[in-house]
Amino acid sequence: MSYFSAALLCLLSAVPSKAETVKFATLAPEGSTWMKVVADLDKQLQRKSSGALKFKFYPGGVSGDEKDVVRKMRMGQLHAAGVTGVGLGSIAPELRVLDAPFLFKDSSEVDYILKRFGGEFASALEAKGYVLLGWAEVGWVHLFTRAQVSGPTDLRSVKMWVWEGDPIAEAAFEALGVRPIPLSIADVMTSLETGLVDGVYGSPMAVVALQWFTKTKHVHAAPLANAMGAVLLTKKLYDSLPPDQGKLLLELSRPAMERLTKLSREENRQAMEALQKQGLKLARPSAQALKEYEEAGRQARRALAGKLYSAELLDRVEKALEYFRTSRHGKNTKD
Amino acid sequence: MKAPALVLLLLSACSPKTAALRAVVPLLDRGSTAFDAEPDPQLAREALPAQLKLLESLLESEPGNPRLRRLAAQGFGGYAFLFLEDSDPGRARQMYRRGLEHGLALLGRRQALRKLREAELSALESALRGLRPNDAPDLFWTAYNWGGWINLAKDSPEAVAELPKAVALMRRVQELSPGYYFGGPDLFLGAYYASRPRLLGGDLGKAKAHFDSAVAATGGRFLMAKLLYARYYAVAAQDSELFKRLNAEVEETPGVMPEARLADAVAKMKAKKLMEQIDELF
Repeated sequence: MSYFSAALLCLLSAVPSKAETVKFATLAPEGSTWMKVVADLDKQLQRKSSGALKFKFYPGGVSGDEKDVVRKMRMGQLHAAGVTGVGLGSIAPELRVLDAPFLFKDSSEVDYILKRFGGEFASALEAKGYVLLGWAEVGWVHLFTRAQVSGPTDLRSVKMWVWEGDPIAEAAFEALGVRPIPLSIADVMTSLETGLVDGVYGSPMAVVALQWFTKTKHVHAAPLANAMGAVLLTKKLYDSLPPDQGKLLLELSRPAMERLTKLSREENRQAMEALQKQGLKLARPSAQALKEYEEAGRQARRALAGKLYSAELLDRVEKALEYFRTSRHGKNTKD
Repeated sequence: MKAPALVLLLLSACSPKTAALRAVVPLLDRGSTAFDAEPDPQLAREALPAQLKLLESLLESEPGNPRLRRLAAQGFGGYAFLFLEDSDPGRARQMYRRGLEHGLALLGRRQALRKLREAELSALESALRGLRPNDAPDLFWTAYNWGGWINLAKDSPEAVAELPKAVALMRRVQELSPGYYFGGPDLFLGAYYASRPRLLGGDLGKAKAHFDSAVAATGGRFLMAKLLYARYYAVAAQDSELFKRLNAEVEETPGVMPEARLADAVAKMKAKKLMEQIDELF
């Protein structure tokens, strides 16, 4: 090989032959905060990789629901996706400990647990063939009912919906003595209209988007759980990238997803206000009701141990939270 | 010094300003028709803002004039949709919002339709049942702006929470005057069902039925109907063949309805741009 042709080869290899396109699906619709953040991430990615790496988006559920999306990722038709508890649970069930009923009291607790256990969860996903690009929290899950409900006793007379095949919500309702009606999400609106159910649950923004609030009158201030979500990339695609590109993708994704979580929290807060502007009444539980919720949460979380996550993992998470609460409490009293 | 109320009333009723205003309203009405028939999109795009400002200044003098309000609601909505939505969505969002305010003021002339943004959906729905076919234009242009604004404000929970109301208004137009504005209610509902994920009540079957019905409303002559069919339904259904066919029909078919000349010309421009995005959309 002549000196000249070797130099030419060097030059050629420095120019990306073809951009790697990461096919990215999400249920979030075009124009939503979610899509704005990931579109922004895409722009950064293209710029910093000099055009070698880019996303192609499939927003608004055009790739199907979460189960379809996970299946398509396994088959290599999609490379990345935003998923919630259902999708995460179908990949690594132990991650659903993050969705456990009445586990967290506020967002700083969620952040703390993700910081302490994030590495462990990312490894669990990796073992199943996925790389965690970042957490993308859905938000606090609240109850929405037609009748006024001030605690578990009232709740027992509500015709409560439960997402079919959602073990977390089933366990929570069982511990509260509520016998819910299992339905797919697509059937909830019609069932609210016909009166088959008159109570539902979801994050404020989800309930706004799903329009369920138009058939309920009360929203409950005490959340049932905090719903987690994440953006995943198939390990297969990640491993096929040159190492510097993989590193770049991770470096850019993590802060973008942190920003998304911050924006989602703000959006849910605004959604709660919008719901009240549309006429929903905010129901605050009594101290007694809060105690009962707490006890029901403890029972439900135990009941789920061994099914989704191990009792050992739950113990560690609960202990870490206790530690966080006492140390924070200590700090607060000193201040 | 206080003038007797009756004298004031007479004076204001006969003031030259008001008389001139009354005379100019029919002209503006005809002007709006002239816009619809304008074959040159650029001319319309440049002339519309002045017209909209004129309407708003006239409304300052006569805020209760329904014909001016209707023209303003229609004008802001049309300007946002035809000329701003693709190139400057941020401004389109603001123009829809202004059109919505005019529309709400128009509907607010009826006691039962005041403060619609805060009303409960069930109250709104029962108020809508009392309306008649000649209320359809007011409902249509309000819903048009409302939907357009929400579509560009999906990052605002406040806006998204109002979507059921915009849809309720448009459903009522569909009942009262289904063919209004070249099958407008069908186009709105078609875009609504196509652009929402199935999980959020989106329904491709319903979307298709609405678009087919909208196209049939003018025998396929209103080109914007096919453009929206491609942009919303074909994309959501990931049917690239249909997308190409509809866009080609829009680009190749001459617009034949004088009253839709401007919309047809803009549809052709939009179809061309849409085809350039085909690789991102499919």
